[in-house]
Amino acid sequence: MIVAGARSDPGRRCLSALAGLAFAALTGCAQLPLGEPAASFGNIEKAGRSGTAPVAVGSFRLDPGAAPGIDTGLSVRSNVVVSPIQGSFAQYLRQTLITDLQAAGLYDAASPSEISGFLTDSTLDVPLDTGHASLGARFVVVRLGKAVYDKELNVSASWPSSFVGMEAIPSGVNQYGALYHTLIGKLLDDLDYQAANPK
Amino acid sequence: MSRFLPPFQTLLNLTRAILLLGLLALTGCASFYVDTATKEIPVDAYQKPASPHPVQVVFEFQTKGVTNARATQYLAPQVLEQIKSSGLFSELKTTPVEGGALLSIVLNNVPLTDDAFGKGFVTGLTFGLAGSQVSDGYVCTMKYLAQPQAPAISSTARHAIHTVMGAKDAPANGTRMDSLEMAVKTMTRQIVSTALDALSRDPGFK
Repeated sequence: MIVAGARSDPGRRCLSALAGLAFAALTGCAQLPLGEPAASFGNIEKAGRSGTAPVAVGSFRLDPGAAPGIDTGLSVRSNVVVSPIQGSFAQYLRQTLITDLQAAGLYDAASPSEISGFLTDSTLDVPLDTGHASLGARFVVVRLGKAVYDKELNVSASWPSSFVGMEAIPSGVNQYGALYHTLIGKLLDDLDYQAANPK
Repeated sequence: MSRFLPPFQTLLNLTRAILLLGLLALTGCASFYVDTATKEIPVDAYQKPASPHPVQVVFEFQTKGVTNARATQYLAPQVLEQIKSSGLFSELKTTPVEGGALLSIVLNNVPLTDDAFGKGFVTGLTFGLAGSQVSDGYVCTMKYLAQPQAPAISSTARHAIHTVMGAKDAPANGTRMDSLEMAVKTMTRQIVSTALDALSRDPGFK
């Protein structure tokens, strides 16, 4: 009965729409760019322990087998998380890698070894109970024209998520953004990578 | 009277009320206070080394222990400038320096008050009559390695920002700030100076 009543009353329908609009205006419905990549102290330490040689960083792009949308934006409770680097999460991963390697003294644009990457996974889910984010990429190291390393690495995070969007959305964005350093840390820790790119 | 308002006017009033309620819930007529326990320590008070060395600096802002890239980006210029003008180092860079000295600064925002949003929301719902206060804690941890293989020395400082919403007295332990931005910048300057001073007094800092 109530539904029927609402359907028959243009004022109520309009009120619902305006209330939704007001809520949307208050909660944002905005594009949320990640912060510019900054060096991670943890990855500087990992790089120092890795015993690897300085490398160049080549192109990064979406993996051909991945869904196109995962590179350009992640929808979070009516907001969209985007990359500040050319609107591409693959480029964000590339810039984060360069930033960490530069801070560790392991970036050399003229190195005969070059790392390229393919974004294979990028998710962010912020429901009312437990948030979840994941990030994956296939890293390829080529030295003097020969592939010496080719491996997909994945990382993920889970955390308690609030029902309040104002708290849950920034928390989710931070958790997702932190995965970029975590993924690079995993690459630096990878024994196969260390063996493929020794000092 | 209100019973005879045209439907559109009623609609408009209700929408305004929803917006106002929401805005109050979000802003809660908030005032910001920087805790008075941690004060800025002047550069002159630092224990300066006889011959300062260059240092690589890495700054990271965290929220509940998780990297907050946007806040890092926002505060990094201020923090780096403060360290540069501290007189504790001869040169400051974000890439490796000669000698390999490395200074890591982590500023972690931790909630001190449970259910902060619940409190703010109640204040909003009562149009500010039910005032409330929430406090955010900040822990600044500095870790310094004079050389890559040298043992790390560290210092820690703590601070807080109190947010008062609605009809509630100002906290006795707070200095009122004009804006949240001013509160955050003031807190950062004071907590970094405190951690830098402690670091400079460590016997291992040369």
